[in-house]
Amino acid sequence: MSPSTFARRLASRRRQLASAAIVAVALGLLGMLYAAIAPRGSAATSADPAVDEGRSLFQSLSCASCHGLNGEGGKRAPSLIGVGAAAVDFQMGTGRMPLQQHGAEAPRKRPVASEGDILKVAAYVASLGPGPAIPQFDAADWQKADTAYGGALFRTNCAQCHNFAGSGGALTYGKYAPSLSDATPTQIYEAMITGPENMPVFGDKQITPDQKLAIINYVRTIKTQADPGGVGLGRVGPVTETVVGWLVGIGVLVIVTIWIGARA
Amino acid sequence: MSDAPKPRPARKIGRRTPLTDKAAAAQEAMFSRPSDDAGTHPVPAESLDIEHDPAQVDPREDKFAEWQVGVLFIIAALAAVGFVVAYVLIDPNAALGRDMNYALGGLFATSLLAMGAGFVLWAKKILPHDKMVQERHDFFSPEEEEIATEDTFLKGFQEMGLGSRRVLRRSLLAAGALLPIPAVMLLRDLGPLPHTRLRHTAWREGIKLVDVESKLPIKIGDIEIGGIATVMPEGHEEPDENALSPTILIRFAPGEIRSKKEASWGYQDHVAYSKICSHAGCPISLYEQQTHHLLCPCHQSTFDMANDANVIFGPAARRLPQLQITVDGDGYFVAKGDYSQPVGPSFWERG
Repeated sequence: MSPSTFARRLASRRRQLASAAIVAVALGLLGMLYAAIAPRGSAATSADPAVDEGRSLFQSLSCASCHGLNGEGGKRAPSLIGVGAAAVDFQMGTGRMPLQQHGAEAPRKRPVASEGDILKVAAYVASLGPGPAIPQFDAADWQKADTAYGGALFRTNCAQCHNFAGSGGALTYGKYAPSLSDATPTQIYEAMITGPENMPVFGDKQITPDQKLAIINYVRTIKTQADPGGVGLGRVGPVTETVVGWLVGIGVLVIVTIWIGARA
Repeated sequence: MSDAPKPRPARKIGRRTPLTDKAAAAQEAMFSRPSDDAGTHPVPAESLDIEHDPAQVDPREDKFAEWQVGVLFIIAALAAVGFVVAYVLIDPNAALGRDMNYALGGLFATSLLAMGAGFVLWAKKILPHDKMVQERHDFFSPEEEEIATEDTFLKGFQEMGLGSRRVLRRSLLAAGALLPIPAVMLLRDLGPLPHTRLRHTAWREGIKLVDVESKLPIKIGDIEIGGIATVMPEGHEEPDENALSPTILIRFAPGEIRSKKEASWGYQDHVAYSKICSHAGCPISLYEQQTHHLLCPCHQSTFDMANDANVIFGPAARRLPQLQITVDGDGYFVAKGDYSQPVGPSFWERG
């Protein structure tokens, strides 16, 4: 190898290193520039560590695969900007979200995330835009709740879909209003203020917080009430009662009659 | 065994036809039969050549059956005692009376059931099961009786004197003709005709929409997007007395209402529709806020509330009538007038 050839090679190597260094410096500068001027969506709330944790949970729990990386919604799911923490706490707390599959109605199931994680995701979604917060009430609030008035409100506003005893009922094209037997007071409250799926929204100006607690107290009361007749039969009214009366009642009578008439 | 079936002689009232020889012979045979043979006492099957069931009874089985029945009767007795004990001991108010209902109903049913089952087992397992045949005499009266009965009727009819007593005949005819009139008069109670009452509700121009439960007027903004309220005309809030007036107020998101007419009859994405189903008059408010379907719980009529409440499923023949609304100076919702067409189900004169 001649010296001149060696020098040429050295120079070529130096040029390569130099261009690599320039690219690296340029990228670094670009990154710094971007960080300086890029819009910071949650910069104002990122002081709350729950929001940051909620954002990473939002992505790792696969919420983002349908609702978009920043909750902006997509073809398969609505935008979450402005739905508030209450909607997240309801949807994830009842196990309806994350959705197992698309269908007429998202069924209630065991929650995927822990209560703490749900609150973090709720904090993140709440940071996207103003929406209803998770309702807070305590034992003193229950003292004020008028159960009988709550029953009247329930029959006017809720019973048409959820049945007079909160047993739920069918809607159109496979949708249904779920039974309220497993719903916690907080979840019932959240459902009223957020209107999950096809449920209408009942805002605080239409049904005041006191009226909402009265309704919830009514639901709590009928859930714990015994059935005086012994068997509630799902508490869905005269349909099941008639079916049982005819099939079981008359069926037993027919069997006994056959037994009496049969030869010994 | 029994005689061949005897043909009944054809006869007319008032005319005595002589019996045929065969019928006379049959009657003779019937009346000459001894009383036992005429069917007053059962005859053992043996003597009638019917297959006889010897009913060979095993004494151990017989004793067992006796005990079965006895145990059932003892259960019936114990349940009756238990009924009294339960009545005295159980708190009738416990669990809304469920405990008492269960105890009394269950024990009384047990008592009656055990008693009945005991009797049935008694009949099935202990009573003998020989086949018996009981004969009956033929089902017509002797000639002499028939003739005598006819005579009695004819004589009675003649003695009434309808043919000769004019006063009786005419007064009876008058009474008979007038008797149905009171029954016809009762049909008047099907009325009075509704006239125009089915065509109008209590809604008038300027009447506020008030919440049916709180009786408070509704301001714009009170209902959230996707919300729904049941409203009544202010001053006529009782649904029982204003059965045609119940109305639902729905708030849509901007741009969701597809019908221009519907949007113009409403106010800023709020629309008001009759809550009375146009099929059978059920209150209808199963509202789905995403599909904008309003479903009637009675017969599943479904209305598309974003498009003039058109019927998209079910037996309803007409869309729901829309109430024109606006807001007054204070921002409260008011009606712009009555419904423009009759609400509720069809009626005869609706046209």
